[in-house]
Amino acid sequence: MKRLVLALLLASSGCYWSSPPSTPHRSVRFDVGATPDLGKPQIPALAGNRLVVLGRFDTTAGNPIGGLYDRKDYEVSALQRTYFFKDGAVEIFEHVSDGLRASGLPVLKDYAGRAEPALVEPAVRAQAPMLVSATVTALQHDQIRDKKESVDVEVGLLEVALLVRDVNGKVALSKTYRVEGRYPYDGLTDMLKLLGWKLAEKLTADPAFIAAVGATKKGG
Amino acid sequence: MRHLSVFLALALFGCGAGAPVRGTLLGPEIPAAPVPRTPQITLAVPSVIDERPDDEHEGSSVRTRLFIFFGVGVHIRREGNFLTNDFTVGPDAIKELRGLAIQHLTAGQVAKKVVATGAADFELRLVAEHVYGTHFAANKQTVVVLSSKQSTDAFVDVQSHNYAAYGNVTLRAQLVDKRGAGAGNVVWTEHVTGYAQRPAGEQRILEVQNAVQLATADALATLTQRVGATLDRLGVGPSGAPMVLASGSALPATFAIERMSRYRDFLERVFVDTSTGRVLRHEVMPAPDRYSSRPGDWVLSRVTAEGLHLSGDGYEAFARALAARYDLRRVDDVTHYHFFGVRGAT
Repeated sequence: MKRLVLALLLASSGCYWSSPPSTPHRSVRFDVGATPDLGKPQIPALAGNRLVVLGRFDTTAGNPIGGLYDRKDYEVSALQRTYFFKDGAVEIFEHVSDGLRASGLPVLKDYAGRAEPALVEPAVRAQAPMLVSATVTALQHDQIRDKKESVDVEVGLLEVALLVRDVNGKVALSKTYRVEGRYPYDGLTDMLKLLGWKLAEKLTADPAFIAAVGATKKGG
Repeated sequence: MRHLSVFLALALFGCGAGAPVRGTLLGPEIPAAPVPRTPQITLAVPSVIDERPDDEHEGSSVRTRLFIFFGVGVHIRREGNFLTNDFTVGPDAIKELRGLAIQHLTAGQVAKKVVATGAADFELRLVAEHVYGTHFAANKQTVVVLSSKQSTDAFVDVQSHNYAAYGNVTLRAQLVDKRGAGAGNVVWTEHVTGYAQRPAGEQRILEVQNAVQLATADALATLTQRVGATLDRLGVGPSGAPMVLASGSALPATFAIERMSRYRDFLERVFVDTSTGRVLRHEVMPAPDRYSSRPGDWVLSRVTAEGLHLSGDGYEAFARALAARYDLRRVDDVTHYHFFGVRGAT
């Protein structure tokens, strides 16, 4: 017994340090200081006569969608609690649509479908719309109190794989977009709305997307 | 030495979540169709393809962040994620998934017959991209043993933080038309997800396994809705053969408007007398397709007063005819006209 205990003692003595995950599975750990400010979305004006049908976003992102972290003062782990939200992708879809419309693009939403070419009904097909389908591949919303920051911050991440097709299924654009950033907590700003509008800002500033939906920059 | 044995035993003590048991996806009762259905086609569901990432097969456990042995004591900090593996999700999970998909689609009356193999009008191909349960965990333990010739005292401090358990299921679904000239055409592709959350507690692994079962049921309920909605749009769905309004035919005496509830659980449908604009009947039902329209907005229903589903062309003709008296505008939704009441009334 003595030998066994001694062997255990020797095997386990000293100091061992490792870096297991400090966030839920599939969440990323944000370095708040290195995360850019999201800022206010600036949607450029576009001119487009071609109808854009935006399909309801689907998702491969997981739950929990995020967590509350207190990195200044904690007993066991900085992660205080985790958050569940089932319809995050649909919420993002609504806000991206609003953002695209703010640019002047004529956008209709396909709630019941994902803007599948085979499912476009005759009256809409006759207008030869461009069909935009999107899959949310990452969505995260954390609330963080960081010891290096003077104010609490909200941090968000959105990644979307986007496909633009015509009604015959011909692909005009296939591209992945990513939005990541922070803003100071104010109790009013809706992170998912901000992420959706920032994605719309990215899309409407991207010449490849503008060309794919048959639009042009106003005045350009 | 006896004292050392005591605190080593304490220090090596696990986190107390209980030993994992073999998992299964077979969980809650499968619900029947919430509204009467008239399926028109047959559907085959071949074997589900397993594309889960390696970590979901292997699983993971909470790991040691810091271990310090300091002569008369031990301090351990542990943190990380419990993640199910093939055993805790269920060794037969992918087979069970297919069986459950067939049961859900059958109970939802999406098709006249849902079969595992054999000829059918449509084929539903499923790829399992994610099927897992997880919870975060963190705990720390400090054990100090102080002994003298007279007595032995031990100081033990254990702190832990329990987090909710989550179930996640992601299926990539494709519906393939196997009929006639268009045989082999993929008519619909979508990632169908199911999520569930269970409370933090002592039975953490069991709760994670429950969450996976609930997430599976959630994904398959959504799959049933989505496949039904897709078939409806093709005119061969469970809402029955679509009604086609002939050009110049008399308007139906009654039409319906509807709105989705805030949380997409219920659909509110109001039947209106076409000639007077008076409300005749008001119904609230479980939403047959929770994503069919925007919550809170009144839209012209694609269902007639008799419960017949309108085809795309039929809906357009119906809306055009009603537009002489009612304010109908396509402002937001490509498959619905928004309803703003009687013209000139506001």
